[in-house]
Amino acid sequence: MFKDITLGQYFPVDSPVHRLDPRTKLVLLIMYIIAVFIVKDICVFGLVLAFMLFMTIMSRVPLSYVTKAIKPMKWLLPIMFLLNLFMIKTGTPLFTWKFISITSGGVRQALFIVLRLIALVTGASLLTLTTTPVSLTEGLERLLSPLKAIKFPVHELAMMMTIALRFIPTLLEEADKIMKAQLARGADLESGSIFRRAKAMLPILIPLFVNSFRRAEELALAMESRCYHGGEGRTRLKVLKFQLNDLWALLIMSAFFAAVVLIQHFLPIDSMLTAALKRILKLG
Amino acid sequence: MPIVVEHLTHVYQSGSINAYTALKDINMTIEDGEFVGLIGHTGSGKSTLIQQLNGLMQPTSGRVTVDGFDMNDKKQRAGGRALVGMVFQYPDYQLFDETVYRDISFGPKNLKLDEAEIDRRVREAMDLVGLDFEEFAEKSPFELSGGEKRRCALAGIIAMYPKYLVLDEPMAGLDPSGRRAVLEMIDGFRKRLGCAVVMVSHSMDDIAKAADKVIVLRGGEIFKCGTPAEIFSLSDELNEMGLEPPFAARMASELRRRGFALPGSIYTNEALVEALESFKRGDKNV
Repeated sequence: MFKDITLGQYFPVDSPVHRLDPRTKLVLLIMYIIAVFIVKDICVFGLVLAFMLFMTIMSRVPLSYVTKAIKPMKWLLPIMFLLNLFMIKTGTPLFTWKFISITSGGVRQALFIVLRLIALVTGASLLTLTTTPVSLTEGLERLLSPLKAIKFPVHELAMMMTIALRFIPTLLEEADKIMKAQLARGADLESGSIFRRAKAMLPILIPLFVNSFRRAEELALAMESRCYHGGEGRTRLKVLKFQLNDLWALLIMSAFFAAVVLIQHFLPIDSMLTAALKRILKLG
Repeated sequence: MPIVVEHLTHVYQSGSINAYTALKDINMTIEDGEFVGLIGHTGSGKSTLIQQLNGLMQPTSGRVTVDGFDMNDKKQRAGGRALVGMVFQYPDYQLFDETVYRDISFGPKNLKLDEAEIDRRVREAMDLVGLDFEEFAEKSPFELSGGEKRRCALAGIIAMYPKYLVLDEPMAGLDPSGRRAVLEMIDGFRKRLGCAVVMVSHSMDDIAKAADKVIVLRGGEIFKCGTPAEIFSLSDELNEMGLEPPFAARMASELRRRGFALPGSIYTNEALVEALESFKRGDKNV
């Protein structure tokens, strides 16, 4: 019933991207996100999408898996597009009919919102597809470790994230089993008003909560009986190490980042193109 | 009318790289009032198969009909499901209400029975599983012990008067006296309600004691279907599959190996004792 959730699903193949240090991948994602927000020209956005495509090919994850992340936004994207299209009134008007008007600024903004959302979501899903949840939280813990200086509980936060991620599939599976057990007793989950349906969820939610609390207690006991006492003095089985691969990845990312910034500031491609277009139109 | 399974195949996550065929071309029939034992190694597809019997899962291809209700058809499914009572391995998956009484009445209430009938059925079900009404009716199901929870979960299904009772390892995690008690209970409702029983179990001894028919699953296919005598005479094949034949069958085959001419159809303790006694009397050809 819940088998189709892709968010946070690791795609197990061996590739240069999979082998990168999780810290590197997190830094790459942050730089990528900043780049996505710096871009203001449609043409430069082509560069961003090309880079995304390049990373996907390098990661050996089928493109269809990466783009699956867009599917949950199939309503959000058109709504955002239309809202921006009709609400923004900057630039030259292109089309007016009674109270509706579309301007060049609106078209630009609408296109940008959609492209940005797609770029962000595919980037983030590529990270989770190529990194196991455990190494992801480990990378996060190491990246945030300077915050320990101000008594921020970095280790505890990372441990909580690891446990939460670890138990998502378990909870989904359990919810599925409970739902089946109650369906077998004739529970009707799908008909009636919204209040009736909310009430019909109780026979599922109660066992789910009871079992989760019990499991949490058992897990805490199991951890304590193996002498877990927080992050103090804890060492790692696999110590993260920067390798040549990581250096290359950071160099490529920096080159891409620099290219985006430079083109954005010194080569106003969009305005050059529009000027050229205008000239051609005038000639015609 | 029986439950008929025809050419049933089930593939998990079909079409993706993780596609996994759990069941392959299963054909079987569960007759009225029959006691069917379903055995197989872990991962042989037992759980997937029994969930198909009441339409909790739909086959990738093939068909299940329960007394003529086609379980592939969404409209007919509810009718078939009302006939098949399903008890899962862990009672924690189904107990939810404030009191044992209310929890057991959840199923009958969903069948839209009237109050008096519900009350009668809850009392009867509690009696059949051996939960004292005065003591347990007003208790919270979460205060019960493991064995009591299991009885309560069973009662919740029995109170629906299923025509077919499907049990997924009803004895897992119980001690020998608990196992015997559950087997006796199952026998009790069969006599009272005349229902057919499909029981998944890892204990061949329990299956040997109770079943009329045994189905052995291996790697998602029916390896063999027959009477307990036929199945348990195949001790070599069962051993190879990681299934341990019943104690009596193992004992008999060991004795046979050492030169005692015991018949091949021994699989219950009673039959073994009888054969050994007639041996003692000096009757060489049992």
